[in-house]
This record gives sequence, C-alpha cells and structure tokens, in this order.
Amino acid sequence: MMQSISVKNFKPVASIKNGNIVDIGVNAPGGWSAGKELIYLFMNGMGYVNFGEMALEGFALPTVDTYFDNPAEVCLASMLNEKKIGEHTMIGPDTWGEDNFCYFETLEVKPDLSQKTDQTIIVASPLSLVSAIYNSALVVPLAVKKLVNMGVNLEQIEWAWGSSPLATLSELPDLVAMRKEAALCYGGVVSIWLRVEDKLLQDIVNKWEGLGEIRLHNLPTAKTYVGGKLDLKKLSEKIL
Amino acid sequence: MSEFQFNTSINDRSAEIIEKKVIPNADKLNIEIHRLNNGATVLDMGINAKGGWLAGKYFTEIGLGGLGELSFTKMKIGRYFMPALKISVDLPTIAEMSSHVAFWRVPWQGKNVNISGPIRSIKRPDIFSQAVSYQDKWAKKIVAEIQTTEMPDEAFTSHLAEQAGYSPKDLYVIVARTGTLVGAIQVGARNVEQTLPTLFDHGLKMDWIVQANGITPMVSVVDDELIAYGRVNDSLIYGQESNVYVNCEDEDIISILDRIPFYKNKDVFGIPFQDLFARSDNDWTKVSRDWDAPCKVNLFNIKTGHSFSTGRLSHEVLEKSFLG
Repeated sequence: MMQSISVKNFKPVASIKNGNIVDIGVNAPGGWSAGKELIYLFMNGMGYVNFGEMALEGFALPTVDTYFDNPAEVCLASMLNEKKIGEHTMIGPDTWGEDNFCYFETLEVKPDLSQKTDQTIIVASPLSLVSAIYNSALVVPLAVKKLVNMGVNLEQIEWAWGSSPLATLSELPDLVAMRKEAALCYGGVVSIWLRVEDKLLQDIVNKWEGLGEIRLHNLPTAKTYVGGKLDLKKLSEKIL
Repeated sequence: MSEFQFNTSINDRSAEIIEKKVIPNADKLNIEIHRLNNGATVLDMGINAKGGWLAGKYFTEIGLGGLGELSFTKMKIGRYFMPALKISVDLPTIAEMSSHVAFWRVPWQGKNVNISGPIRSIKRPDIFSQAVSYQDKWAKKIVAEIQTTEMPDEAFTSHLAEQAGYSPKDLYVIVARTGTLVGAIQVGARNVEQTLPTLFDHGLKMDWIVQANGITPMVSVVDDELIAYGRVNDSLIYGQESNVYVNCEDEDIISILDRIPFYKNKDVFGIPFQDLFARSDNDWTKVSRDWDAPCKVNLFNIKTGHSFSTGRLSHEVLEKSFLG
C-alpha cells in the first residue's frame, strides 16, 4: 500500500513521532483502489476482493464482493479486531507481516494520533467511499462472528464468500450510518463452506436475521442451508 | 492473426507464476510443496492441502500457460447470487488447445492419467494440442496439472518427464481433488477450454479463432468426489457461457451452431451430470463425447460483424446443485 500512495489518492501525513498516518479518505479523496487496497491489507494475502453490481429499481448498484481463504484468521483477528491506540479504538490485526497497521475512521486527522504507536494508522472519514467499501466488506466477518456466537467453532470454517451493496454516499452522517446498516442487513449475502453437524446448521438458519442471506454449505454432507433473506424493497427504500 | 508467431515458452510462463507467486506464498495459499527425490516438484493445492480461492486462481492461470486471467465475480442463478469464475484468455488457441485442455492421457499402472497444462505443448501428444501450430521449443521447465485424488510419486513424475523429453528436476506437477475449492474453481474455469475442442470437433478451424472469454457460476463445493464431479460438470454443461470472436464466413458458423451446446442432447437435457456419469459407469472414457459440451456459446464474427448464440442455461439444475 505504501508504494501506491501517489497513484491512489492517498495522502501521507507527516508523522511527528513514531508511526505514520496515511490519509485515504479524510482530507484526501481516497477512492475505489484505496478501498480495495485497504481490504487486501486486512486480508494479508489470504483472500480476494472485487467490485460487482446489483440491479435494484433500475440502478446498477456497486457491490463489494469478497472471497476469504482463511476466514478464521482474517475475519475476527483482522477486520473486526479492535486495538486501543491512546484514547481511540482502531481496527486491525494485532501483528502480522511487515504491514503493522490499524484503520481508524475519523472526521479530522490529528497528526499527534501517531505519537501513541509505532504502527501505521490509516485514516478515512466515515462518510468516505473507503469507509463504505470497508463497511460492505464486513458482511463476511460479521456473519462469521454471528456463527461463532451461535455455536460454530472457527476451526470448522474453511472458506467464505460475500457480497454487499455499497451504502450510497452522502455528506449527512446519520443517513450514511443508516444506509451502511441497511446495505448489510437487507442486501448482504454470504456463503460459508464448513464442517458442522447438519442439525446445528438447520438451527442457525432458522434463527438467522439481521444480516441478509446466509448460505451454509456443509462439505461432508453436501447439503446447503439457507437462512435470512435479501429484502430488496427495504434496501431500495433505505439506500436510494 | 494466423501469421502471428508466438515464440515464447508457455511452460516457462507458468513456471514463473509458480516460482514468483505460488511457492513464496504457500502458507497463505494453504498449499503444500513436495520436492521428490528425483528432483520433481509437486504442488498439492487440494489433496491433503486445503487450498483456497487464490490457489484456485493460480491453478487456472498456470494451466493457461500464463496466457490468461481468472477473476472472481458473481452471477444470479434462480433466486441466488453465486460466486462465478470469469476467464479472459489471450491467444486462446495456444492457451487452451496447447495447454489448458485436459486431454493427454498418459497410461500408468493400468489406468490413464489425464494431464493438462503447458507440458502438452512440448511433444503435442493429443489431437487438440496438434490442432494448432504452436509448439514450445524454448521451455527450460515443464508444467503439468492433474485432477486427482492421489499424490504423484517419483516413479510417475519420472515417467511423465521422460515422456516430455525432460529431466524430472525440471518438472512441476500441480494437483487437486475435484472435491475441494481449488477443484471446483479449476474445473469450473474450463469454460473456454470446453468450448474450443467442441468447435474443433465440428470443423471450425482454430486459425479462425481470434479472442475468447467465458464465465461459469460456482455452484458447489463438497468433499465427496463423485458428487463434486457431478456438480462441477453441471456448472459447465448447464451454466457456462463462452464468447468466441472468430474470423470466417457466417456459413461456417451457421452450419455447426445447433451441434455445439449441451442443449443439443434433448433426450438428457435437465438431468444432473452425476446421473449421466452413473449411466457411464462413472468412467469418463465411457461418457458420450456429445455430453462434454458447453452450455452456451456466443460467436462474434469479426469478418461480417454478425453475432450468433447457441445453447441455454438451466437455472433449475444449477439451483439444485447449489442447494444439494
């Protein structure tokens, strides 16, 4: 990511001490490539991300489509992993590779943020495109978290795929927050390939709600369990 | 196009992917590297190893001789969005007929081992590799791919390398079962790979083919090899769509159009491939050649500007495969 700054609308912010701050959506505009690069950074070579489309009320809405090779490592330990940096809660893996970083959504960049850490802090506004991309890419991590809460062991999960429409951008914070939630809740779809008792999977899909459509593909039994649903009517009401 | 000479080793292009992108990232890709005592290197992407999306992508791109790209996208089949495999092939007749097509049958211990990959372009041992003029005369390394449940051993890899006229130390063999994510990806990605031999079977000259791409929904991944085999083939005969750009007379296309797609088999259309395979004693050599046919093919004639399409998807079969 650091090598791509000049071409992907990133803005390095001079570090006062210790770590660096890279602005990909506060003062810098950021963009599609920056958002994709951020997701790849979270995935650390263990997945794939692409942009797609979803037809909704005559609109070809952009979607963020994600493919996870090691969901156990990437979802909870990276994309949803909270780290305390000073008084702020940021997101990122505890440690891995050369890119020790955290992602922080903020409306303003304060250079002294980096004084509390030697990590690279990647910042974007919650109203930015990068933030919307990150939000949509969370559909799989959130589903994995939900599955774990419903009794699945992380080790039982082999691979995952997800797609979620992008929350339509706006400068109104409340509207953006509502749209991000609606994109996942009414437009998110997730496939998880795993090895679990069929009965547990049936129980899970019977109770699934609040996160679009889940499809649980049981590798040993060759059965697929589908829960939740896409609600395109509510989705269009909320995000268009 | 026919006068263009491609004087580059597709084996070396594949070896470069292996050496630069795959081996250094083996852990993250969930694959295993085995260096055999005879010097051959076997990459397990889905026999004992778990593999994944990226391993499947590399399996495919290695199989294309480095002349194409697999990207992931999605399709809506029936009520469901599904991941899908998009293939964009450069120099399609070389990438597919000389390399990707799985048609070199190497006799070994009473069975035939089906080999795909650029190694086929060295000696051009089968009818499809012989259908194009390209021959890899420059290869420093040789690369073979096998859809199998058994890890190749020293004896087999020595035999394979010998067949190609190389030392086993120059040989890479990539393997995966069908019942893995890599298996589902690399078989599903054989959309253009399935289409070009079918066109060849029906008399379309390979010199006429200019460009090609294709898409296939990835309907299923399961452990059981027979079920997996059935479902990945469902994705091809009931779900893939290839675009082929040709330079010929319209009549050359029109005359074969009805004989190209799987839909021509009206007596069995709609039957899952697992059942068709059972009717063939679960033996690929007994499967009717007409059943190994692409679902849908679009032909764009650059000479006349006319477009043709043949075949149809079966959302019903695909949805059934998806749900299990």
